[in-house]
Amino acid sequence: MKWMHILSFCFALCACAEDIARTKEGFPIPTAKPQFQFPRDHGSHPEYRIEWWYITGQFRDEQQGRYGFQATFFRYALNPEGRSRKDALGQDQLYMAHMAITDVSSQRFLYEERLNRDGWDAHASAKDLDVRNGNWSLKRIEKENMHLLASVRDAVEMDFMLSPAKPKVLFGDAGLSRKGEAPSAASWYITFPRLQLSGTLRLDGEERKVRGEAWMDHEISSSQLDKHQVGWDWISVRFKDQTEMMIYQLRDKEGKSDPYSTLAWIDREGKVTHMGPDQFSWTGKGTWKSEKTGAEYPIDVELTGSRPDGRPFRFKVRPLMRAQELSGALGGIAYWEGACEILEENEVIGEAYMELTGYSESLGESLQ
Amino acid sequence: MKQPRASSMAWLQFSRLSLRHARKAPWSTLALLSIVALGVAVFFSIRLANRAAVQGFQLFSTSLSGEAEARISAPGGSLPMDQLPELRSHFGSLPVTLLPVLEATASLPGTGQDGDGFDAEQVAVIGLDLLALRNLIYVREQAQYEAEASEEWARVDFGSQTQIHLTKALADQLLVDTGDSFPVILGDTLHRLQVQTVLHPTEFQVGASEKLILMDLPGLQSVLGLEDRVDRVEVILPEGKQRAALRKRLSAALQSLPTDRWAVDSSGNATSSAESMTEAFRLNLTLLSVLSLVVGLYLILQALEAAVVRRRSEIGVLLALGFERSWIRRAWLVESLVLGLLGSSLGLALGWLLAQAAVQAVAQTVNALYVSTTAEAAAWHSGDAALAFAIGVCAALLSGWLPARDASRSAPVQVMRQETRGGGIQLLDQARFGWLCLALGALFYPLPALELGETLRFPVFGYLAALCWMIAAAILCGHLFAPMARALHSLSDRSPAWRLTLSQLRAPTGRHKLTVAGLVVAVGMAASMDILIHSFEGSVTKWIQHSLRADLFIAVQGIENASNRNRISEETWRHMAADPQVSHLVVGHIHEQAFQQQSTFVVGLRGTGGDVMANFLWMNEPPSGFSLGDRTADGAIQVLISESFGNRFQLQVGDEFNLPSPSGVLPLHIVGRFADYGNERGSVVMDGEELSRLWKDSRGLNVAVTLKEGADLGLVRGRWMQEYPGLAIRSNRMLREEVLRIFRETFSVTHALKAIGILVAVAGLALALFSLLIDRRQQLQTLRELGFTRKGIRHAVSSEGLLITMLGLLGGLLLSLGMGSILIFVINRQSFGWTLSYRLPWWSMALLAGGVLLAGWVTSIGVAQWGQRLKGEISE
Repeated sequence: MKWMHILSFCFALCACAEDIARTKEGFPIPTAKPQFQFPRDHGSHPEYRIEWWYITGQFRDEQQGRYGFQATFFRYALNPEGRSRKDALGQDQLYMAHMAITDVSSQRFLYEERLNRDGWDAHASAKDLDVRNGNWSLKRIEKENMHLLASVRDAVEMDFMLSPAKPKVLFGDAGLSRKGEAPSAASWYITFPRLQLSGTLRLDGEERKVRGEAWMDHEISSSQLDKHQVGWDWISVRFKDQTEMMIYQLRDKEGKSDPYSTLAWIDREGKVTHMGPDQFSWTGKGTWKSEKTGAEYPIDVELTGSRPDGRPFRFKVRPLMRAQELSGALGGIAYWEGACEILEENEVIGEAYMELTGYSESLGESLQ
Repeated sequence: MKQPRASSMAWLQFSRLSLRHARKAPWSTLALLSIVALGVAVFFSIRLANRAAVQGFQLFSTSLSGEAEARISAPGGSLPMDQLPELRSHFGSLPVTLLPVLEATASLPGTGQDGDGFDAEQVAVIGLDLLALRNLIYVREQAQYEAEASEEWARVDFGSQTQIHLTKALADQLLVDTGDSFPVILGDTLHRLQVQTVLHPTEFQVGASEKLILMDLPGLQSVLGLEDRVDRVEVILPEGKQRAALRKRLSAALQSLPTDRWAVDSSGNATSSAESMTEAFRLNLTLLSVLSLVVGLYLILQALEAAVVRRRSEIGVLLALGFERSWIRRAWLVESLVLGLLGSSLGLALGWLLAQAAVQAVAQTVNALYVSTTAEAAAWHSGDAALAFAIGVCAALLSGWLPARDASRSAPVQVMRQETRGGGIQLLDQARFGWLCLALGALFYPLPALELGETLRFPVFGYLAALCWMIAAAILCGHLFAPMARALHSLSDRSPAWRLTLSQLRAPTGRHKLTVAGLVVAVGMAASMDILIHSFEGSVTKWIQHSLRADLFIAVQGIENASNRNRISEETWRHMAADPQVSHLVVGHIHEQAFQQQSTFVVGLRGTGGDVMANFLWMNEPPSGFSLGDRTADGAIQVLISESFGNRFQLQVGDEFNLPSPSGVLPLHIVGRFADYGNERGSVVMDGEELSRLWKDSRGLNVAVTLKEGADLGLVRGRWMQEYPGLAIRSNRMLREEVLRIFRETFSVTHALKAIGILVAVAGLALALFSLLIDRRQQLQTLRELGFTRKGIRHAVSSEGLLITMLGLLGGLLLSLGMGSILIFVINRQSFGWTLSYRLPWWSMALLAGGVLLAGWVTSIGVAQWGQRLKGEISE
């Protein structure tokens, strides 16, 4: 088992489905409308190949210092039997996690990756949301409130409570989100679009109280992408008017947007409206090139299209810092994931987190 | 007379008084420098070699993970991994990496000297979670980690029992590369391992010379039959500016871990446990090197004192001219200082070279007694260098002080007339002081060791007693010249040369006394070491004869010290027990155990027949009818303890104590005490079956097999060697020889020290005879003019040298009897906890005596040859 290759597969390719129900390797494929049962479905689904709990958000300390953060827990099954926790160092599940923080005022970006086997130091409960990787953990504590413990290298420790300000939403067809033509290119997609964040940040040894908002995705699949797809651009936006927007644009080898790309609007009551790629456009306006990986990311973005009520929009995505790349030293895939703000007619109307994948040369090669 | 200004006179006094003499007598000056250098070199080299040997032992994962902040293990036995989540919870959000480590040793078949596998070369095998290990690239400084993320290394084959990664040094030795495979003994069986990666010397900070094998943790656990168990967990903090603050928080978290379940070593230094293990050994080694230095210093004192005598007339002139006595004294001290500085500098260079040779000898000892060490070369250590340098300079100053005082005290007229006592320090004239030292030594002899901290007991009174007796012997022997001359009076009639010789000894000069004192100390030291070693060997032999009675002894291949982690599986020893040729066997289970913050051993014996108890050499025999496995009425497990264990922990028969174990704290009751020269850390012995159950490990360290009557030992051994290629199977005779070989290796260093001591003493004799002849050159000239032949002078001088040697030898041998007793009954017992029976090594002492006499005689003849040509006007 060559884990580097496996992880490349994990994030990008190779649906190879032979029938509707299962991939070639035997992993189940999300197909029919799911019948979620919470809190059990906030937990792990070890029989599926890929799963992640993905939190991004922005917060401020008492001195109005501004920060962005990313806390991501990945699970990857190595065999379709979906066994979970048997040995202290199991051979069936891999857990990867990424933590990152953007200190906007000092323009500092710190991140850390972690990769562990299922077992004593990394695990995800199949009964409820309780996932951990070393000293990082995300756990549901009561109702749908969550507790996040995370750190980044020696400099950052985060102890955050995350409480839904709006109910969770299900993207796609009641939670079944299609990502491509192939039957296997689908996921179950559960999102908390607006979480109230409170807690403490220990930065450079100094503890500070913080408050902010976050977005959390929980996706379950066995193969996210279609064969010809090489990467995706994703953004989540929390507007000041308490509505939200999410876009994922899947790109093919020629860089064209895939027909399965989606824009989703969430109104104040939590109602989701989906739009296809013909109803919006994602245009790169300026790039940032990573010295570390050589990847050139289109981080200055213009989003245009129409709102659910038919009104047109033209948003400018402005990164709070340009160098927000995770180099993928462990996972083998470099990507840009950073805190941004959304402007309309030069007025900031919301906070956003943007993810750009498939721009590094190494990822392009591994996708072949 | 107006006194010269100190500032302007410093160079003048040095150049006129000291440098001028150095130029006139370069050989004498060179000899003095060499003596200081030799003393410093011996001290420095032993320390360097010892340091190298101890540091050669490593917890090898340190190389991979960087310096761990702490190591957490179970108080006894291995650590079940199902306890690790609890450990993780305990640290909460603290960003610590917890790295479980399982260590094993792989023996390389076909290596070693005797081919039976006993001393097959061993390589550390480290089981680590190779996937989690990659996370450490984020623990290190940002600049480092990207470069180390090599693609090749990343291709880990999870849980493989055959795929390994090995260091470049080992790959070069085995002549293997990526994709190749080679055989090793792991556990008790032969395995073929395939090289997946050859670690680049810089990768994960693995040292270029380190020889080790890395395996994925679950793979190694499967191979060893230790599923879900590890030896320890390394606690690693991320590097960076906040590390110090994190360390404080970690320290608080570590302190709050319950000690009955977790043993924390937060020394931050992987070699510290090895260091504490060999503390007593190193202390004794250092003291031996100090003794060598003392003998060397005696020579400096002797030489400087001789120089004072030679320059008496000059001193007289200076005094007569009005120079103050303090000025004269200072001049001598300056000379000593320069001598000390130059000699010590030379000594450091020489010491470093000597250390390269000594490191092998010390490493052998450490290997045999304590842990596997990979020491090959001794590295320079500034701290040790500074210490040795300071000792050399201070000692030279001290040595110069007594002659300086003598020089400045003499009356001008007296010194100009050469009315001297013939050199020597006045202390040696004080017989009463000698008797006082003798009495003080006797007083110190029975006093107990000084407790230095929790783990170290230092036999300070033993060393003081030895020092007192050495001084006493040195002084009192100087007073035996006159009685000796009287006893040999009849020789006076034989020839004028004898008359001349005896007349010199009848009224011995201070130099005579100083020379004999040096010989007494050197011979005493060397012979007492012989007595100690011989007594040790005798006791060990007796112990072996008593303990090793079985026909075949079986162990895994490689050196059987604490660091050999291979064990014989239950399946294997049960299979052997079922062999039709076997009458019965005894399986020895052993676990390293933390007790009262010290490392000791818990041993389990499991017999399938015969009397297990018959193999002990009792110091306190348990009551008749006792058998291992018995419990007291209140449920305490009845155990036996080794003498070392009792001495270390101040426990004796009848005592009860609590011992932590993987199954909780055990109440133990001591019913017997036995002699065990196998380890100085002590051991507690209980029933093997009980130990296996409590420590959850049924593997044995060794198996002693008794065959049925009529069984062919050679055939059984040959058959088993075929069947179990991973085991070293030795007959009774082979094992005894092997134990004695290890024992001799242990003392290999002391022989070198002994030789250096004798060398220095004989050099002192030559120096003294030279000085005596120079002092007496006018007398010799007169004798020649009166018709004394050159042959006669040669005879007289060589006889004098020989008689001095004989007196020194006699005194030294007498001293050695007392010193040997101190070494055996006081120092050794208090350091190692062993009682040895006192045995005199007649042959070795006779050889020593013969060697010293021969060296003394040859030296005397050489000096006499030179002296017969000495003319009255020759100055030096």
